[in-house]
Amino acid sequence: MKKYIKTSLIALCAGAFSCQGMLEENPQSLLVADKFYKNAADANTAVNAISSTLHQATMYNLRYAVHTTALEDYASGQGFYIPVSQYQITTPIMAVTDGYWNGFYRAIDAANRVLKYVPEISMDETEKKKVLGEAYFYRAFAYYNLVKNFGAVPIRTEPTEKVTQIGGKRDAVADVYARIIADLKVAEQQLPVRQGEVGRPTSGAAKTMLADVYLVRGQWAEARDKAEEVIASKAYSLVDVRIPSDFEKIFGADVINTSEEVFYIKYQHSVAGGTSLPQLYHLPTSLWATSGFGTFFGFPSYPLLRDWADKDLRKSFNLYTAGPNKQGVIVPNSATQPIRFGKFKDVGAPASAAHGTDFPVYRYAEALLIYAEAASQANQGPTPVALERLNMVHRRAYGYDANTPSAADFALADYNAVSFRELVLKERAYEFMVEGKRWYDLLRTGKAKEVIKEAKGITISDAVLLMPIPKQEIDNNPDISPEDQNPGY
Amino acid sequence: MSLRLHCLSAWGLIACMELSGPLTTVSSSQALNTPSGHATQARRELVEVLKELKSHFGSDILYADQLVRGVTVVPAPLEKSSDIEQALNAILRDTNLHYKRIKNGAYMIIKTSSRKPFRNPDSGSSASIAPGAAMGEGSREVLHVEAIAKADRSISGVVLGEDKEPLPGVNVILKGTTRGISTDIDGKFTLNVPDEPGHVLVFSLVGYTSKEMPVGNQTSFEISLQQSDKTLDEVVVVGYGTVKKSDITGSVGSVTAKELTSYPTSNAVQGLQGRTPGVQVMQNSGAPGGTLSVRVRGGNSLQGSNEPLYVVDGFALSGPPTAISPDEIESMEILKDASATAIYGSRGANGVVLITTKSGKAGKVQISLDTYYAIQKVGKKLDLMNAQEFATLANERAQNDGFAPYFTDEQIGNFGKGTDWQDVMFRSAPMQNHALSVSGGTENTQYAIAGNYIGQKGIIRGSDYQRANLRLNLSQKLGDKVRLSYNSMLSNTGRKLLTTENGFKGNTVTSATLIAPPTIAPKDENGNYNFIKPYAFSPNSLENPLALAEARKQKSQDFYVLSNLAASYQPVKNLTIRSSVGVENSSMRGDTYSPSVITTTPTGSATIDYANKFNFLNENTATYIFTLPKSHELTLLGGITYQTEKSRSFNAGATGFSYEGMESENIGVGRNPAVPTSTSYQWKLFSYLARANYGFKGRYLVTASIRADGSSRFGKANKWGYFPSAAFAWRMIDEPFLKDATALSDLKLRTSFGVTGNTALSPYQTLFTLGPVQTVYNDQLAVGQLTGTLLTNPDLKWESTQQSNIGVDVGLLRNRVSFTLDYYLKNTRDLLAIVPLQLSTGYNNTIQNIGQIRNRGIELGINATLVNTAALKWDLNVNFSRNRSKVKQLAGGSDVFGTALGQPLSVPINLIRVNQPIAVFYGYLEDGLDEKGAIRYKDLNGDGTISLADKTIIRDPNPDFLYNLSTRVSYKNFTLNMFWLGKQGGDIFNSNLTSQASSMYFGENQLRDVYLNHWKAFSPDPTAKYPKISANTSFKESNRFVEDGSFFRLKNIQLAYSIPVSKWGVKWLRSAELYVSAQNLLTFTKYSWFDPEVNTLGGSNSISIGVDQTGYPTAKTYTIGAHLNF
Repeated sequence: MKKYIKTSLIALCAGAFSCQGMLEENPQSLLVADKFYKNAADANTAVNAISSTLHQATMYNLRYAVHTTALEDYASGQGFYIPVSQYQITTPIMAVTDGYWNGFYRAIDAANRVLKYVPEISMDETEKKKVLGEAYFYRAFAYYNLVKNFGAVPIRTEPTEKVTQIGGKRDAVADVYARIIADLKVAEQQLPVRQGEVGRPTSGAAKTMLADVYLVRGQWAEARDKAEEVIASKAYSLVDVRIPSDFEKIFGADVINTSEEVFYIKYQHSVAGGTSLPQLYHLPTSLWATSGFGTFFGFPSYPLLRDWADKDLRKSFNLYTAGPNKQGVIVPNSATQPIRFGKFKDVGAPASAAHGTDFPVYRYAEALLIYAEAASQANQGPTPVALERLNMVHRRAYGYDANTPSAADFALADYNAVSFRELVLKERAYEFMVEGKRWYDLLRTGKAKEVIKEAKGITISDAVLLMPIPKQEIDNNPDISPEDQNPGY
Repeated sequence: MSLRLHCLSAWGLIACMELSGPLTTVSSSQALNTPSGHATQARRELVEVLKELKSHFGSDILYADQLVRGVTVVPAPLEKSSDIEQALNAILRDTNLHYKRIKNGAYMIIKTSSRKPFRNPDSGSSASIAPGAAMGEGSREVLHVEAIAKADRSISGVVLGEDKEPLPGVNVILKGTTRGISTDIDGKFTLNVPDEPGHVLVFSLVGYTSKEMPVGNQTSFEISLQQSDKTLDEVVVVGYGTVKKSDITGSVGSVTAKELTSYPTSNAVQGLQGRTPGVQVMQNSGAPGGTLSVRVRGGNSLQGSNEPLYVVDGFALSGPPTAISPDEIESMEILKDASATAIYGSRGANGVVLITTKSGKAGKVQISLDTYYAIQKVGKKLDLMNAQEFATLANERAQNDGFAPYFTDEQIGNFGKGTDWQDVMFRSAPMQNHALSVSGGTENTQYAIAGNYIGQKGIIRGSDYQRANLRLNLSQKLGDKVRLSYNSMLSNTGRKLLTTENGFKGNTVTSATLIAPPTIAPKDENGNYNFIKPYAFSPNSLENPLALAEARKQKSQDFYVLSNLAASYQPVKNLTIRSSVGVENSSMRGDTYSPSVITTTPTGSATIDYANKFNFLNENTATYIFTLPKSHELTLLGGITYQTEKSRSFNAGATGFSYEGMESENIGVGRNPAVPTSTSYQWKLFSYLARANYGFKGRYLVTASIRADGSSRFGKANKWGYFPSAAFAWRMIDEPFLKDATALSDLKLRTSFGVTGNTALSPYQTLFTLGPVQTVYNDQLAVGQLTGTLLTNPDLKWESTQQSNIGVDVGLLRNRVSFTLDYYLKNTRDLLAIVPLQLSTGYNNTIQNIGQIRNRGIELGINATLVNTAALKWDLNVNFSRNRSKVKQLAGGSDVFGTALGQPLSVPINLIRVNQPIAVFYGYLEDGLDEKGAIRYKDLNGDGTISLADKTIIRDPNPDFLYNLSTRVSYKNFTLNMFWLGKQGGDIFNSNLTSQASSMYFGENQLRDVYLNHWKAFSPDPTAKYPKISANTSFKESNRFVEDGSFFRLKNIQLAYSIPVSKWGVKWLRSAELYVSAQNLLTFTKYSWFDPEVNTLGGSNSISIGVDQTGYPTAKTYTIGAHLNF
């Protein structure tokens, strides 16, 4: 009997497979991180990943690109954005703002991975500098957006690779800006003036952002000088506009590059590479978006819209009270949503989230207007160059050549430091309408409450000036307690 | 005249796997009361020889005592006989006896002619009746020997089985006497009975339920005996073997083929509902082919699946058995406690469902046809506003929001009732099922071939389900030591799907059906779909529901193969070695074409998903039955198994279709291709297992098992997990001190403890991986490699569940009443859970072994035969289960949330919090309306504002208890079955109300109740049921939307008529039953929406339960069908 048992056990063992090493995992459709970051192609792929984090529906593909629209003094939102129009950050809205926090920190982590692993790669040094420059740029970009919306945020400069790498208090706003400035200073050095592929950050993009950051910080001279570096580089010029539809040469869905593009989030006509942006501004019946939501609209009573000169070609480009339906028939807007915004439109999107309209983060016009504001502030009054830079933007908007004096020009004598700054801010409001600038202008100049009260009759609370720190961050970050939450949440 | 019937049987784990009929053990002391030792050298007592045959071949042999008494035979050497039939032929050659195969693995010795048997000269021929198992059904009744009275009149009859086949060897006894006879080969008997009233005949046969029949004045009888499904002699399939029900130490529930097919369903798992206490089956969707969630004794895992492991004929599937037709299943066993499941180690924590498919039996060819046709109708319609009411309310909304009215009075006057979108979308839908099987074989070869087709249209237009199955089960004996068996199943499933569940703002069919404005007709005068959101207040995601259902095409085609080859080898009589190789291969293609009429896809959009799953299993086991001194039984099982699954998928898509006719059949027509994606995953599981079953005197039963599982899914240091169990059962009924408790027919105490696991991880979750992502430069896609949003954790270890169980089985009055009571306690530790991370890490979450969940509960099952007469029989089955879950510990004590609801709430409603039941509802409490008609919430923390801190646990989706009742009344040829399902408690978060009973927030159509009972500006009423109609009224997740989910439902009622084919002389038909039935005919519930059996966020996880978010409604079904046997 024993013999039988023994033989059968041997048979069993032989029939089974050796389990030595059999339980190791070797994924075939995923890269294992420790086998990555070996060559220049890996480095490029790694830096592309940072950019992809911005291409999400929670980020620039939809939500973040319109985050400020209903908060601004010329627009309201319907449906989901009703509470935002009422300056209330409700729970569903918080889910969206949590998404910004999440998305920008994903960009930061992806940038930190590049900054940790790419230096060790043996590759062409110029190429390597460029790749690292992009990572610094994106990291600064992410922190800048975080600090503008959330105030003090934890600074992380190492990629997260272990569950034990948690914590990090809210670093002071000044420290966050110091980090941003430091990163941008490296980026402006390491990035080329032109990139082979449109949409990759350039030194001009880093300098413009740096000028913008200085402006926000009130470092007027630095802002002026950095903007001047951008202008002096002669890498950019304003696109000529004679009739309103010429603005399509800047904002059109099929435009790939323009002379005034400094840094854009780029899109193409596909589901993988497209945006929802036009959907938010046009109705479902509209020709100008595929499956529009018609989320945002304005009222003629809003001062910026009410006071907008008809001669300003931007007005008829930006605003419409009637627009084409799918059959091309012009139909008026409803009385409840009388004015819509026409800047971002795309008649050729193959699917709803597949619009090709790029989102402009920095245009050359901004460098000019930063210069104008910063130079005037530094000088405690407008300078001729500051005025000229403002006039360049203004002339172009009125259909004149940007570089030739025109009937639309402002005169230096009419303005002091305060009124000139007002003028620049108003110009920025018109020039960058629905480009996500106005709200931050109101915040940095401390005018938000006053302007909104005047425009919409709503008294806004301090809470809305900063978005809430995500509850998930507070619950799980040992260094942030509920008391550290922004006021009003 | 008297007789004595013995049954000999062998019991062994592997041997029994090849038997499917019930077995009886007769202890040797009972069987050996024949004096032995008188045999000559050459000849031996036939009884002795038969006993040897029985233990050698593992078959039952029945014989009447007087037939074999004193008969001696020349035994043939066993080794020379390849099978039992050959051996029986050899030894019976010179007797006047021969054998008859009565059912699979059971033989009866019967008389060949009137020739006198060869007798041993000194053996007597005294008549006696032996006590014991020959009476069947665990009867403990002892018949008294008494003189046989003079026969006064002769009666005769025939005894038939369930399929109307004649049953030979049935013991026919005049009750209270020793007078009796056994039926002949044609099932016929003749007996003289005293010509006086009050006599009763008792018919009994091993493996069949005994039947009593008053003699009355009748002289001719047709008796049918039913196989005793519920006797203690039943063999129950357990992991890697079978045991007699009486020997079970764990908690195991059984569902029979009859129960599984008692009402129309495409999914065999549905048949588990309500049949066994402790098993909760939740219907996630009423759609044809919709998924089900099954929880055995509550859910224990947050991250992993909570679905039981399904094992089909020994093959462990990686998912639910959706491709298997209920018609193909012989029985399902649900292993509940750790003693039963621990042999499945890391996959046993959620219970194990063992599915045995129908196999062939030696004997005549059996052909059976089961067929039904059913009509399904929507169970309930909702009372929504008509067009006039809709327009009126829309105007009130405009007025409240300071806008001009949307509609003029004239327009409103002309609208009339408008479109009833529910009438447009719901339909009467047919369902049909046809199953044909042919089975049969010889002792050496058995086969079963079956084909099945089911076709079901959905009650919402555009949805359907079709499946065709083919199956072959083959078993072949090679020589006398090897048996090969092969099971193979092919299935082809096609579905037309709709997007229904979890929609909002009209983006799915059910959502759009309820939200769509009644002011608009489905189609215009040209037959084109009408644009459905022309109003300024229309929800932007709304689509024409009819276009979504009909013009948008979503279909899936699954091809499924499950094939298993096993060889068992018996080198010596007590050792069985079994080795099997099986594969499960499924290929799924999903097609979607969304045409330009759908507003989100104005140029047409097609996608094709293809997925393939290949699951391979090799199992090698050895079973040894020890030869021990009397009263001891010991069986050991050992084994090594290896399983691996590789799944791969790819997806392609395109938009921009200038020609739409080819839909997704040629996606190259679309000018704008999507980025194709593909995935590839593999896991491996290598295991050792061992089990010992020990029994002492059949009264004290011990089972101990252990399994070691090595899984590829865990980190290097934690690949192996060990899962032991032990159980003890005491069959008190067999104790001498209960000998006189005649009312008691069964009493068994069971107790067990064990550890099971849950793999709970997808492959590669311990590795730090990067996946492809896209960005755009230069109007071109660029690819990056990015980490996921889940931070991997290389230190993950096994989730383990410790379960203790104590139970008692009681049988009363010869098992006319029996009940089973179990109490269990399950503690799941090292819970694998996705836990949120601080988002500033760049990750959303990570997986950790974080906590502990406890489930405990009580299960009670009662079976009773209330009436049991010849004409009328009434069986009742009631079961009750109660489970209480409690989260004992979570990492850092932090809350875990379920899936977020759709708009407008957009927040999760289920919460996992320490010291609470799993997945409670978490939200605000309402406090009436304020003076402006807005909802007021309770400020629980009293800080003067309503913030997240005011949220609290508002209700509990876990049922208080489940109860079910099934009853079967048969009168002559009619049988009435009723099956009632009940759930007490188990609240439902009716998310539909956030759209349909709101403030017309997104411009959705509302319940008529809203129209009638909302807050009105001109007569403000703070107690109004619904707030101010306005786009500015906000809603929070509050108790407003929670409803009581209790229900009591007549799941099935069936009236069947069994055609007396033999009486009618229909030779070609062995049995025929016709029936009509209705499903979901009556439901008692307070739940306001379509159906309380709803769980739209349901799936394998237990975190998001009890939510109704635009669920597909459940149908009422009327069925007519037939079961025919040829």
